[in-house]
Amino acid sequence: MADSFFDTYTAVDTRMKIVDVIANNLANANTIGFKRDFGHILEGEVGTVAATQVDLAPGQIVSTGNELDAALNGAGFFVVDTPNGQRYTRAGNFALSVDGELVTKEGLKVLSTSDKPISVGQGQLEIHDGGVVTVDGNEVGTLKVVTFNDVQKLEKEGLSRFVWTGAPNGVQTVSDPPVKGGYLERSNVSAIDEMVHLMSSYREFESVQRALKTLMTDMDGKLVQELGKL
Amino acid sequence: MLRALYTAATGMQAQQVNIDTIANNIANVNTTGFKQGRAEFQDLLYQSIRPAGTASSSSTQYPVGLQVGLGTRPIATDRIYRQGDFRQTGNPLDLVIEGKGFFQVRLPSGELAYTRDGSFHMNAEGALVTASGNPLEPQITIPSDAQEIVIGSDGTVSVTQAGQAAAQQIGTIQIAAFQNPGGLNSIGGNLLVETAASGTATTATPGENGLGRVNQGFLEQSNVSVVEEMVNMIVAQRAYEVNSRAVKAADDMLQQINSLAR
Repeated sequence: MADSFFDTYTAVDTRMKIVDVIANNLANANTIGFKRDFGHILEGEVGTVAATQVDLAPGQIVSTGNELDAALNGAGFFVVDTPNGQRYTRAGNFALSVDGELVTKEGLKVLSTSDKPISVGQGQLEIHDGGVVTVDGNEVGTLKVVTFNDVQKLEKEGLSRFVWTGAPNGVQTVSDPPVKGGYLERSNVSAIDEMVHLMSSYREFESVQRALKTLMTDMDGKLVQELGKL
Repeated sequence: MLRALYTAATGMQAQQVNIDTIANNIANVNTTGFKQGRAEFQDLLYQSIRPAGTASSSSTQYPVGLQVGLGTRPIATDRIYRQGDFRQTGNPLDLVIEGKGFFQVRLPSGELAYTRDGSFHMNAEGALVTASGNPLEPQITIPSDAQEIVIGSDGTVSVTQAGQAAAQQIGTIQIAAFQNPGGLNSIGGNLLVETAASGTATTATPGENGLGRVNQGFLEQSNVSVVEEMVNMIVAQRAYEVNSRAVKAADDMLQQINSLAR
């Protein structure tokens, strides 16, 4: 009795977590370079547990005509320098710092293949296919793009960033990166798919919570009655 | 409490900012020198409820973790400095910057402001001023007996005065550039002011140091594309809608949980 109660409780709890994950995907339907989380339910020690995996499927690549925008039309991540070490992002909506360096919208420096910031200054910036950055036609660096040997060790840090939790040698620099200047990658969230997931998780929740309600009513009621007889 | 409720609310708020930005773009589709705004978003922090690799028993571990994101936030409203189309006006005081840079004007407060709107006029003293009366900096005064005003691509202003055959140079229009024009602050009235993020202005003659050249008799139209904004508006509206559905689903779930206890 107690086991089935706990199983049913975890079933309710996991459905709620899945809905949380779907809500986050929907909230980020317009976030540049966002990768959706795929929520699924696994069998646990007791009952069920929820798990998430980042879905690295590509988002739509759209032309913006903005010289500071770059998209990755294939596998890989841009590398940014943070106070806590290098982080990875698919969001190529870059800006210039007051020092004329290429930065993210949060002011984090975007790194070149030589692990240095890219100094642009005031000239005419152009990000070429393949990641070469030129200013007034002169090459100033190549955008560093990396891939990972095990994407499951890539965790979301939030704020459009990923952090690598695997061994340092699991990070490889891409030699001919699929960079496209003047383009951005849209979120890979499909509103239709998420709505379907939301509805099905919601219905599952409905049925398991009904089971929980029945169990609570039966169990509590009978227990009190039986105890009362003693 | 269900995180989904708050998460979906951040999504709705973000789309409101998006619609606000799009509405302002559409409102300025005919504003001279206007630059399109673009709302940009970022995901919020993630709650790592169970990191990948946590032991599932004494000898096994979960291959994948459980990370739940907490929604989205607007990170920037960027200005896209794509060149707008030129419109020929034939008015000698209409100027356009072909390339980078801004006209420099003096505000009544004495501060400098910057604009791409080159529709200048003469005030009572003959000085070149913007449509709202802010004088161009450095100030250029056209003599009252000027017959013809010619502004060269390098910004030199020459006039032919009554009774004189040769044109006379009376000043040069300077163009200002910034390290990071995206960091300028809009103050309305087609004007921008410098901030700590934009860096300080460096001025130069038009056409020098990678700055744009000046063209007389033209105006730069707004770079807003109505079709693009319409598409963006539909996308924002639909995103708002699906987030409101998530709020509804989360609310229904909470209601059912409340009904568990009789």
